[in-house]
Amino acid sequence: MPRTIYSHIWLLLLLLVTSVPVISAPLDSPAGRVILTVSGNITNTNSGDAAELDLTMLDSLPQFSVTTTTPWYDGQRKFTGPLARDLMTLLGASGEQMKAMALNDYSITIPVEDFEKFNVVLATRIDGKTISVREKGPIFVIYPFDDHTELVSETYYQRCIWQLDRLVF
Amino acid sequence: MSRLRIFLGAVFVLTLISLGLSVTFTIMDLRESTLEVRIAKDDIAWPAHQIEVEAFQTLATVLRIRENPAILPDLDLRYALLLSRTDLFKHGEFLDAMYQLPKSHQLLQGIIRQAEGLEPVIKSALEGDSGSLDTLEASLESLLENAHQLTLQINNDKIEQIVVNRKRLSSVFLSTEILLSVLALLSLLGFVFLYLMIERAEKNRAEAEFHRRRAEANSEAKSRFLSNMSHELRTPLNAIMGFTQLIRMEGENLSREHLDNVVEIYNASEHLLSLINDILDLSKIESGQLGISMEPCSVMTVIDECFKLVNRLAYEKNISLHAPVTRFDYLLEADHTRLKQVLTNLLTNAIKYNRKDGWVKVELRRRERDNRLRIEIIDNGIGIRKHDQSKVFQPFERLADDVTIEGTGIGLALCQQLVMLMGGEIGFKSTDGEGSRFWVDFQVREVLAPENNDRKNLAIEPAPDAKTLLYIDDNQTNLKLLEQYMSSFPGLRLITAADADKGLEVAAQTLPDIILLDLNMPRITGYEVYRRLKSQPYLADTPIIVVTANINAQIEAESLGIQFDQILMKPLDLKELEHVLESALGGVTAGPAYL
Repeated sequence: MPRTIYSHIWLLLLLLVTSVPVISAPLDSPAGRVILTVSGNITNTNSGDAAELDLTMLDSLPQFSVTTTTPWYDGQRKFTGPLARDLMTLLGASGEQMKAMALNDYSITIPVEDFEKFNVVLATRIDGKTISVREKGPIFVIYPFDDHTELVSETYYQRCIWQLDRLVF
Repeated sequence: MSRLRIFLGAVFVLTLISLGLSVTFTIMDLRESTLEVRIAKDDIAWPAHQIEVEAFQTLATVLRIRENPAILPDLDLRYALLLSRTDLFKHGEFLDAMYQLPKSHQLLQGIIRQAEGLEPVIKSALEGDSGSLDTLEASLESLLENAHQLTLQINNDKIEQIVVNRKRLSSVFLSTEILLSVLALLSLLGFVFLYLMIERAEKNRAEAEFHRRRAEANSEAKSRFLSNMSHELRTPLNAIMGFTQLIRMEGENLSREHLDNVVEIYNASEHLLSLINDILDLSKIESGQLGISMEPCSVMTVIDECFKLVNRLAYEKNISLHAPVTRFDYLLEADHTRLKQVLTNLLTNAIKYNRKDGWVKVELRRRERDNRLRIEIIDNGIGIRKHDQSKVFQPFERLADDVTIEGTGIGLALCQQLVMLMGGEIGFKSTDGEGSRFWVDFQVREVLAPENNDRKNLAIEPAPDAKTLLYIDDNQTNLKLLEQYMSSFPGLRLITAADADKGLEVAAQTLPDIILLDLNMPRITGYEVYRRLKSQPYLADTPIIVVTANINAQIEAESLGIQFDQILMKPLDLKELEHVLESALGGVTAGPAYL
């Protein structure tokens, strides 16, 4: 009898450990200007059904840099920001697809599996400097093209949306 | 001719290779240009159109601000978006792509200048200057019109580019197709050429096969012919020589002149026999049928035997013969009979081509280095002229002008062939008018020390009683010849049988001490008679001397599983017969005295 109980407790603990990211601390409210609004199938929100994030909140996530050549710039540039999958973890986002929208309402649908397979960065900085709207900011989605030759195709260039300000899971 | 063919072949192959390479390079080039990822080049119309869209959006914002001044801050974002669209064409692939469309590029440069030039007006409008909005509206309308022109121009340029590309591609395809056609044609030619070559090689092979078969058939026919010839020529010679010997033995009844004539007949017959033997030997060597049985031969024994054979000739010509002065004997790797034949030939030549009161000597020299023995036959005769020396070993070349010296010119050719067959070497040195020095080299198997060198004399014991000799031969002449000859041997009693059946019958009845058997008989062959005689218990140990003119008799017997005790070649040399009988019966008493 006690053995059964213990085994159940272990199972419970295991469940708790694995679901930690899902039920993390409630999301803070943005202190600065909101640069990204995430909605749809997410569990961690701070503004109704949506999550609003400022640069500070994005910077609090682990930062990742991708140095790569792109069609938009001459030579290699260093793109820095949180990984897309880390943002999903933060917001408890799930789903198979993510719709990304830009300031001018341009939009593209990205399969979420890309974020597991590749280090897709939501770049907030190019060569260490924040990106203005004129410079295709505030957020530029970047795939590590130079690290994976299979990414060099129109399919992935198209997914590199710039002037990103909204995500819907 | 063949050099030209190789050159043409090389040109052909090089052409094929270069054609193949150019096709490959064209395809690689095409592949690269087709597969290149260039979003800017392929999709330049979209970002260009975005300038028009943003210009329109900015103008719309200005118009909305007029109705609702509260949304004035939106203008900043709109302008930033517009500039981000024009900035796109200032770097990277989009700049490169635009360079390739000169008209659009020019238009775009004007638009970029125009858009960036709006900055002061936008700034003052954002600061609340309502007059700036009018200026801004006018400027944006002009910008919008230009952006619209750019959209149209790029569309035209794109279409033009597609047509140009298609033309380029079609010319590339055309040239590739031509190259491939030429390549295919050349390959076809190559295949045809190869086919012809293979066909010709096949034809050559078939022809060679045909020639080979014909040569084989010829060789077989020649060998059969030789076998028949030897029999047909030797049988009459047998009669001639046998009866001549008989006549000589009864010489006391003849006049001196007749006796000389008989001796001439005998000598001429003997010479004819040796010629026939030489020619048959040479033919057999040429057809590869001469069997050589290599065994250790005592060189001193062979020389001794040779001297016995040429003694008479030397005596007649008054030439002195000198045997090698040595205490050693050597066992050589050679065929005893053939070595004897070679040395006899060389000795005969040395005696024949000599001078009056000349000499012939034999010397032995052993080379330690490779353990070979050189047997030299040296004479001080007429020698060989320098310009004749290259022809010495060629068959049917007679060098001596003196027609009184008998010969066919075949002897030395035969010697050379025989020596080579025995793994030896032959050569000579000669000075015209001073003499010759012929030598043969053979491998030494063993050197015999002087004490082993004493040859035993054969003890000849007189027969206690008369021995019985059975002669089986269907040839009446031969029977008569032997009957007459044997009449002078009181120690021997001759019984004759004129056919195989009778021979077998008589043999069983009389149990003779020795049997002479002719091989060539009708109905039952000599081989069969031999086999039957040997299978009878009382006759199994009786020596049988086979008499035949067939030089292949031993080989044929072996193929039937028979091993002859002894063979005497026809025509019968009576002296040889006497010798054989003597060794077989342990002495035949009172042999006749003849030359």
